Amino acid sequence: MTLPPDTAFVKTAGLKKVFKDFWLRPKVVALEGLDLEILPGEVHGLLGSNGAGKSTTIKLILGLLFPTSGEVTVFGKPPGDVETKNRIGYLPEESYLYGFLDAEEILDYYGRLFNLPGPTRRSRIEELLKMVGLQGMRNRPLAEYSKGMQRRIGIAQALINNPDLLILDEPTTGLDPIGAREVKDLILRLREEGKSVLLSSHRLADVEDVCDRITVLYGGCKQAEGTIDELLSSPESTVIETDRLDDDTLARIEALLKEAGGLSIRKTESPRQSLENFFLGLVEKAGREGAETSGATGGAGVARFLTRERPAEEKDAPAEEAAD
Amino acid sequence: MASTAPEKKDSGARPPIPLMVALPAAALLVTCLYELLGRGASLAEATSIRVTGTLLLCCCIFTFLCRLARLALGRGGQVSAVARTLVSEATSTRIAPAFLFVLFSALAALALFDSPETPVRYLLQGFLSYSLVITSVLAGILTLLLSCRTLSIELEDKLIETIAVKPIGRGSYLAGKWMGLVILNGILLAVALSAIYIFSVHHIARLPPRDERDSVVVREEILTARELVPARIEPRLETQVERRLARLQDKEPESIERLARRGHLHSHGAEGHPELAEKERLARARESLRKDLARRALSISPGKSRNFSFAGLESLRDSGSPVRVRYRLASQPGRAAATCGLTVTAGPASGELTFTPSSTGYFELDPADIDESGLLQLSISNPPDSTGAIIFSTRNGLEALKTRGGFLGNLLRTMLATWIKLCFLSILGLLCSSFLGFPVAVLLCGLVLLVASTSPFLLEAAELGRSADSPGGFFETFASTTTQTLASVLSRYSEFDPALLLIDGRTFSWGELWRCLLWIGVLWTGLSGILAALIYKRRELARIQV
Repeated sequence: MTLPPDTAFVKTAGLKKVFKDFWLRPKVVALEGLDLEILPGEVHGLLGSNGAGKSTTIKLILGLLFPTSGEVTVFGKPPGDVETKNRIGYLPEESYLYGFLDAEEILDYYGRLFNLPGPTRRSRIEELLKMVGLQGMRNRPLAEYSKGMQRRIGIAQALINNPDLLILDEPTTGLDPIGAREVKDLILRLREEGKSVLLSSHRLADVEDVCDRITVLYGGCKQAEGTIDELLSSPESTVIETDRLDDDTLARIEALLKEAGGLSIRKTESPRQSLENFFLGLVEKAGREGAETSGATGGAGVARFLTRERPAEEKDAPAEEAAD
Repeated sequence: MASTAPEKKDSGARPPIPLMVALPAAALLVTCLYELLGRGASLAEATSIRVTGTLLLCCCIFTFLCRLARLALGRGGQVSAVARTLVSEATSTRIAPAFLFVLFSALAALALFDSPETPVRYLLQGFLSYSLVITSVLAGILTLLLSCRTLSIELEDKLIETIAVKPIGRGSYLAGKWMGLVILNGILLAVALSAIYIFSVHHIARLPPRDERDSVVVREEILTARELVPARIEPRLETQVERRLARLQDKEPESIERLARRGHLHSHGAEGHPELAEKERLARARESLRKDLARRALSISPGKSRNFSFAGLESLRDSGSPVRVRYRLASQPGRAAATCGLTVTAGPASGELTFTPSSTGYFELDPADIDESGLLQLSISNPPDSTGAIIFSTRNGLEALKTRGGFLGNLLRTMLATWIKLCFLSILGLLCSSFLGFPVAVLLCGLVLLVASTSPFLLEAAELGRSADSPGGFFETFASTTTQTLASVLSRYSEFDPALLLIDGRTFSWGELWRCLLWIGVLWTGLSGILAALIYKRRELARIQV
């Protein structure tokens, strides 16, 4: 699938990255001739084993690394362009934060780097802290946060500018099942809002749950690309899910299949509840019963400024930001 | 989404009173109790309470200024956001408080040092000398460490990956870092200035005087800002030199060569150019002759007299206050000079003034002797019955004192000059860490600072090495040329050293400060900043493990 260059949010063509040693001799070819497109409103997964070139790709898109050859454009401009960065949110693979600042200060700092006006900044900080469930720990230095709590702040900082393109590198690492579920829900919600997400993850289930298209890398080269259905569906078999069937009904179905074309039932099973759903049910119950926690609480949905149902003052923000 | 569970009250929030204030307050309380219970003396007079109280006051000033800076920087754009974070980093990670702790410990120890035999003026000069050196050295080290650390650690810890993807230009980011360092240094120097001023004016200067001159010297020679007008030798030294040189060229041309060998002027590479070589030879001979004649003009044999003049004393004449002339003798007290009298004849107003000189001293003249153009002429005679010649020091041997301002203003200008130097060091640290790791960047900056601070000595050593008439090997030549080039480039740094003037009660003028600002604060800092921004823009900020 090829689109006009200005349609794709991110477009790379023949992207190559060679890392060199101190004497400028080639050391590792991390990426070789990568062509990639991220379309508006899609969740694009980047899969690959360790050293496949996922992080290199992301850092080239963000302008943190410079390509050896090939081209990258983000919103039609070079990746280092300051204006382009206004539309990008990035969550690195680990949360790199100033440990001496507290949650409110770090979000305020990043908000100021985006030149957000004071009132907008403050309301977004409130909403994001509520969203990631860290309102109660807003004045504690980040160095005292657990890894999962730091990850939540990382997610909040990536969203402070209400980005059109969100780049998430292993977003669920370090998060508890509730946090992981919330991140997945968030990604799906952002897609509904027409935003694009580039997701790099080792958790194949996460990628499968949320991605529209995926690119698989190995040894710095693209091995496969396509929608989940294109890549995963198997046309040789059919699965039907229904209420529990008794043995007579099953026998009648099998007879019908034989009659239709000599087919038979290969496997029947009763699905069981997933551990994730079981755990989430327990936590929800404890929360309803009023049990206290000093850690992160369940988030309160998606921050309103990220959705179309924005509060009145937020709707004026773009004009304010432009004036600022 | 999952339901919201009740949150426990956050116990990790920061305390309302910072440790920076709480600790010295506790120390003051303990000191008061100790003085009250142990001695029963008046609390207001207890030295330890005054010192601890000063430290508490300085800690309060530091805390207040930090909060003020953070409040002011909280209102700006991207650059001030970066600056604010750097100030927070320096205070929250206790780097700046540690600096203050060391500085305060040193200042308190110096202020508490009191020897009953040592005159107060020497205690005060010692305190000022050491405190200024300690402040500038500690602030220099802190600046280098912070400026080299802030960029390289962010790169090392990958923090920069989160920041560099935000819409802030890399040049603006560096500007923010520099601004934070400059503000932090300003705060630290303001605190140091307060401590030095309080300790020197309100503590050491108030110690009981050890002799009759003590309080006068402290008040009029140290805690003041005077301009020293050096004596001009009459007839003019330049005229004497040219007259003598012309005579030697006519009658004893071989002595020109001898004089030229003694002159240590900088060589301009005149080898192979006869005209240039001749010019250089004459310049060296002239320099050598000037030194000889100056030395001779400042020596007065028994029965002889010499004429001197001081120019630019209009303000003294208008003020009507007596003209104080300071002299320094090259000969040691207790020998010939101290045993003879000295007669100074200025004008009709002063008449003749006869006294027995000590190694350093003053005499006062009537301001009515200063003429319309601000010129004061005087003649100094050594009586015929004197046991030896009077020899004034060639360096500041005879000077008229002109009060230009107060000690506080002078101390303020001294601190401002130090601040300007620290501004340069800040950008130097950022420049080095824009392409080097933390330890190497610190080492490189330290080397530059060392060469800059010792440039007069290095230049002199290199000049002596060159004039030793031995060609030297490749490495000697290379080392000497490199050192000389570096020291020449950085010599301005040590040129603006107001500490020596301050200790001597001499004015470090606004004009000098302005020159310091232009050279170091604008030219050097600006060039280093541009270079740092260019390098940083071209640097890959992410690290990939391959």
